[in-house]
Amino acid sequence: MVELVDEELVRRVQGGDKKSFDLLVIKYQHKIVQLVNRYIRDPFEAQDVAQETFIKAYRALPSFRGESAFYTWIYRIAINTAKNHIASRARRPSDDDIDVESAEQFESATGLKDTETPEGVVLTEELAKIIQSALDDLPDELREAITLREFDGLSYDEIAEAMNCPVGTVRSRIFRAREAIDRKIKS
Amino acid sequence: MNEKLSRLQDSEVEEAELAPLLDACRDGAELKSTWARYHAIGHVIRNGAAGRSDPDLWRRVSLAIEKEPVLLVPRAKPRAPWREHAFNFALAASLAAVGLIVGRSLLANSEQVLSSSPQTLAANPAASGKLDHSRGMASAQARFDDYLLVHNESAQLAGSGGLLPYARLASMRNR
Repeated sequence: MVELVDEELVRRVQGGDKKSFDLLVIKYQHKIVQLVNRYIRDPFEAQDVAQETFIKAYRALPSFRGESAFYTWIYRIAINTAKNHIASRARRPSDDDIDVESAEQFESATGLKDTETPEGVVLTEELAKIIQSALDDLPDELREAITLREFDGLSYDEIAEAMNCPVGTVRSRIFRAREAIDRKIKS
Repeated sequence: MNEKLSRLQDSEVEEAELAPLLDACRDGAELKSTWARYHAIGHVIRNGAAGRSDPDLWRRVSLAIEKEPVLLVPRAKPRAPWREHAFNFALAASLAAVGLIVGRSLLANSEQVLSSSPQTLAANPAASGKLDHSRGMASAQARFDDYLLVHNESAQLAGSGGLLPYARLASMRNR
C-alpha cells in the first residue's frame, strides 16, 4: 500500500499535477533531512541540501519509471546531492575570500538565503518538546497504540493482536492519539 | 476526513478511497497542514528530539517547484495479452505456410529434373527408368524430410508451436 500511494502521487506529478508533489515532500521530508544529516552535520545546510534533493527529484521525475520504490530512488538522489555539496564546499575558498562577482552565485548555493534562518530548527525543537509532552499525557491505550504503529512499525492487524482488541479499535485509538497531540501543537 | 488521513499515513486505506483522499489532501490547505503535522508527530515518536527537521520544508520546496515547468510524461500503454497471443499465432502460421510452399516447390523441382534427365533415359530407357525414378523420388523425399526437420527445429526456437513440433520431429526421426 505504501508503494501504491507513492505510485499514485508520482503518476499525478508526471501527468502535470505539481501540487501532488507537495504530498510526497511532506511524506519524506523528515527522512531525507535525517539522511542528509549523516553527511552534513550543520542543520541549516542539511535543510538546504534536502530542499535541493527534492527539486532535483522533481526535475528527474520524467526519467523515473517506477522500477524501484520512490523512496529508494530519492534516497540515492539525496546521497549524491549531499556528497556533491561536500565536494563543492571543499573546492570553495573560505567565506572571507569571496569577491563581489561570485557573491550572488554563492548566495544561491549556500546557507545565506532568507529562508535559512534558525527559526525553522528552533521551531522544530519546540515542536519536538510539545509532541513528546503530549505523548506522555496520553491515556495508556492511546500511547501504546500510536507507539506500536510509529515506533515499532506494526500494521493495524498486528497491533490488534498485540493489544487484544478489534482492528476498528486500533484505528480509532491511533487517530485519537494523533488528534490529541495535534491539538496541543495547534494551541 | 482526518480519520481517513490518519489511515492514509499508516497505509491502511482501501484502494477505492485513495484517489479522492489524495485529491482532498492536495487541494485542501488545512488538510495538507494536518497531514504534515501527523508526519511530524510520527517523526518525533521515532526519533525523539534528536530527529529535528523543519516541518515547513515542504512549503519552501513547493514555492521552488512553482517556478519549474509542468511535467507531462507520456505513459506507455501496456500491450494487451490477447494481442501477444495473436501475434505469436500469426508468426507460427506464416512460418508454416512458407515451409509448406518452399517444400512443395523443392519436391516438384526434383521430380521435374529426374523425369527429364537424359542420362537416365540413355542408360536403360525401358527397364531402369522406373527404378531410377523411384530412387530419385526417395532422394527428393529425403531432402524434403531434412528440410522439414530443420524447419521444425527453427519453429521450436520461435516458441510458437508448443509441443507439436517436438512430436513431429520425434515421429520423423523414427521413420
